[in-house]
Amino acid sequence: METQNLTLPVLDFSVIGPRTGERFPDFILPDQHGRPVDLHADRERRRALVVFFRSASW
Amino acid sequence: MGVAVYAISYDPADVLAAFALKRGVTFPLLSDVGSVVIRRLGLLNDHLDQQHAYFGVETTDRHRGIPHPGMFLLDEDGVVQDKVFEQQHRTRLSAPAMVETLLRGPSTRPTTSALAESDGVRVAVSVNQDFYRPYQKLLLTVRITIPQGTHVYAEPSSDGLTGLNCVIEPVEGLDAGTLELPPSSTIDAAGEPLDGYEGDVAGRIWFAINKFQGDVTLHIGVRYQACTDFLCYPPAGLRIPLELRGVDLIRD
Repeated sequence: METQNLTLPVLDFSVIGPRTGERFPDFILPDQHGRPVDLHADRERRRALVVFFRSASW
Repeated sequence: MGVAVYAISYDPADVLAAFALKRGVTFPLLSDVGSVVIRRLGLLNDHLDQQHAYFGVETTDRHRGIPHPGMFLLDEDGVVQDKVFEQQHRTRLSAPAMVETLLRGPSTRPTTSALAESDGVRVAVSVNQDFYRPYQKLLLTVRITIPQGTHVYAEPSSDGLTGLNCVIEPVEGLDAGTLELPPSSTIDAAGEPLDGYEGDVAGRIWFAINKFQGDVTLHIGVRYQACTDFLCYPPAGLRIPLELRGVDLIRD
């Protein structure tokens, strides 16, 4: 396979998704037990780490 | 530190429940089936074709809908304090690097460190965990203690002087950044102003070892030139060995 000319895109994540200094948008999603979790209500004024990952199955 | 953790993927809740059970995960794994929230937040990975061409991977249905890999740190008011995203999924922060750089707290994992000394200047190198795992980003810290009345020069140095630098000697799969140092100060070297460092200086290098090869001895090369008001030592070149245990990726 020709790979010489292929490059990995270099993305500027400072402008992708919610930005530093902005309030993180509200959302409600079910957790692993099917319980709906409202991000900002659930964290109860604690700091939070919100992690986006590929998949738990592969 | 009182930080709530949420992890989001497009998996259905039963897949997340099985994963949490298997890996002992107790924090919420949030199920964004159809990647609705991922899309709304602008985090959908829409560069799959170019990335897959690069890695020689065929794009299939399961790839559609994955987010860019990364994390946000929110403060008490829910404002994004910091965000860390990676260009590809395999790369990720090690837990101690996450704690130290993002949460700015002390890490409790065992570290590995080594010391060397030349011309009165002490150099301590440490990695914030005592093992590597492929594609995990680790932090090498270099602490230089310069005795009073002595200085070392900063790079780029002039007049044939050797500036302070530190490199990780290559091993297979090493992906290392360059030395990050605080700004240097202007030092009056016998009437001639030069950029350098005095006192205690700490720098760091991000790195990952992207090929599993069992335990590894990294060699850290540190060079500098120490001078007092009266004399300059010849350039010092230290080569400091640092042991890291090898831990492979978890494969199911």
